[in-house]
Amino acid sequence: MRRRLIVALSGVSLSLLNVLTVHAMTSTNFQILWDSVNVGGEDTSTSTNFQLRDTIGEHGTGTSTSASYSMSAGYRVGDTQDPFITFSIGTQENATEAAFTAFSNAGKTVTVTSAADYAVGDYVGVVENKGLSQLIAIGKITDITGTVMTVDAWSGEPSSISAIPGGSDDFAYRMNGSSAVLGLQTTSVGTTSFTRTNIVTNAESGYTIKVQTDGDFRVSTSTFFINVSDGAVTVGSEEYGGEVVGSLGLGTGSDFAFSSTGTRTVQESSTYASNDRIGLVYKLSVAPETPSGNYQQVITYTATANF
Amino acid sequence: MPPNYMKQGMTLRSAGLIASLILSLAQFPAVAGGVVVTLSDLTGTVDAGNGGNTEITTSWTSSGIYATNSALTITISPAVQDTILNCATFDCKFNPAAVGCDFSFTTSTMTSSTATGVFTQSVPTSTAGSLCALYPISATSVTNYSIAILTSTSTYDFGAALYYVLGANQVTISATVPATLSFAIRNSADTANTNTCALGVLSTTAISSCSYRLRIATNASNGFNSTILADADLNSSGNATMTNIVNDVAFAAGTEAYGISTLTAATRGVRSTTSSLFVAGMVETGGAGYTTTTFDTDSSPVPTSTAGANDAILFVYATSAVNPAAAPSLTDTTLVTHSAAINAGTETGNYTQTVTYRVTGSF
Repeated sequence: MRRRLIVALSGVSLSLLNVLTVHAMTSTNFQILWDSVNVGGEDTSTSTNFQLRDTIGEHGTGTSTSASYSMSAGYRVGDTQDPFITFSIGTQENATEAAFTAFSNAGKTVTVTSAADYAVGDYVGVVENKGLSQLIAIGKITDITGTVMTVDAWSGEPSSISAIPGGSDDFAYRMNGSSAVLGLQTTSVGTTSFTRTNIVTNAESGYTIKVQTDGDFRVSTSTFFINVSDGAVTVGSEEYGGEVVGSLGLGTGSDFAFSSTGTRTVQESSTYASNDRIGLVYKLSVAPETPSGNYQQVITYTATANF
Repeated sequence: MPPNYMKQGMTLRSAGLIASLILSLAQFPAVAGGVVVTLSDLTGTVDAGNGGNTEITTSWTSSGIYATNSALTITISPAVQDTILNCATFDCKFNPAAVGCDFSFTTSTMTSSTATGVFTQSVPTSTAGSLCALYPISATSVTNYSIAILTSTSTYDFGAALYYVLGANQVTISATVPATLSFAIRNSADTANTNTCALGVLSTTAISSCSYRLRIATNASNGFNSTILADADLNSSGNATMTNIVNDVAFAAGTEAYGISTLTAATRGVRSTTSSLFVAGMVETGGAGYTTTTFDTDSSPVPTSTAGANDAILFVYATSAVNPAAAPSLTDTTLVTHSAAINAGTETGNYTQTVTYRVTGSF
């Protein structure tokens, strides 16, 4: 079995190694896990979102391997990172709906009729051809100039969204809500809403995001929506389901039924995550016979980092 | 070419480098393991009854040996509103052989974001351990907190999991389906609306009958109720009144009687509470409370406004939405048949009665 050995060495200290060994030191009360003689570096640089531990002046760093061993040389190689995972979700806020008039995937921008409801740091969701066959894109706003919002990156299906949308059903929404309000239903139109995810983790084996509901989409335990079973929520039929959108999504391309008895993986990665996002679209269509009432369901998202 | 003393120095330094490298290899940890961390608490949300303080147990399995007095750091991000504390009944378990807790937090190092402590006993490899700490989480904080562990021993285990507070990982989906209700009296073939039921010319040697259907549709989640009420007994402009059939007594030719001879409620069209398909039937009322008119057992008198206990009584009903098949449908509509028989003494005349049905959705 290949074993991995971690060695913390300072390049600067190499010339001293014939008189100084670099290793962990312990006493009754203290333990120094690694040390070195260096020319600089800082262990406590911080900002609002990041912490930096840096070292300069190293020589002879890098990784050497043999059939049985791997040696990594360099001071910070022995610095086990603090494990972390941050995860958030946000849902389409209908009250912030603004028509979008231009979209740039490469330029990471969307132009809306009014950006009054948006601020830098918000997530924005772009919806073209709002409805059961809509296209979506998600980004975090980094700049707002007039009615042009710039995001850090687009997720979802940005390459499919038109540069200049053609219809009157193309909108942008702030994506910070906790409720997906599908509203008053009619048999002639399917309705949608969607939730974006955002996950950051240094787990080297990535992460998994799953969803599970608290029950059917329902008025009561005896009055509930029929879950989609044919892969597509269709106008005029009583159907309810979800669609995963995004390159890191699982089961994309068709509509699925949510479950209260088991989890469904909607997003995963086998490597580190740096603001990984998908969109999960909720879709609903009603038939004339669909029982009246106020329907509700709670969907719980759980994210697990794979360290 | 360097002089010999320099060559010797380089050789010595190289030997020293190799020696120290070997020493380093021997003394640095051979294991640095990512572990699966799980979190649990009593309720899954902030314990508002305890001032927002939440006792969370962090569990994982060691990937190597934790030496006695080696350190463990727990980090919560974002920081909570006050210093992390021991649980009220401090609990931990790592070494299976330990009696009581075998981990101790260093209280002086506990902050609102980190808590450090030491293992008081050596922990073997592959030990499933758990550790409880109290996190003063704001009672109004809708946040996903990351709780991470990092051991600082010969085994560097690390991992993190999320603790979801006040539904920060939940979405509530909602929609409203508006109410609909429709009702029509149809001919017996369900091909056209009607509001007449002609018994024709009555005879002492036969039972005369006429029928119509009730077509009811509603998306009321609790179905509907219907009532029946006649303006008066079957009469000839107030001059003569036909005798009402006695409840559950069959009509007989030559015996004066009038009423509902059969009621056949729709056998389909009602939403099944188990399958959501419209395959269930309506219910004929009767029995308790309507002992003088039991529509579920034919025959039945038509209740009138002067019939006392039978005034506007329930007729047929359903407890979930109704969606009859497109007309004509003899299964998804309710068939009502009126019958009359006369005897030799029945007064001549044109007899009429107005029967009113009312359908109410149960939304």
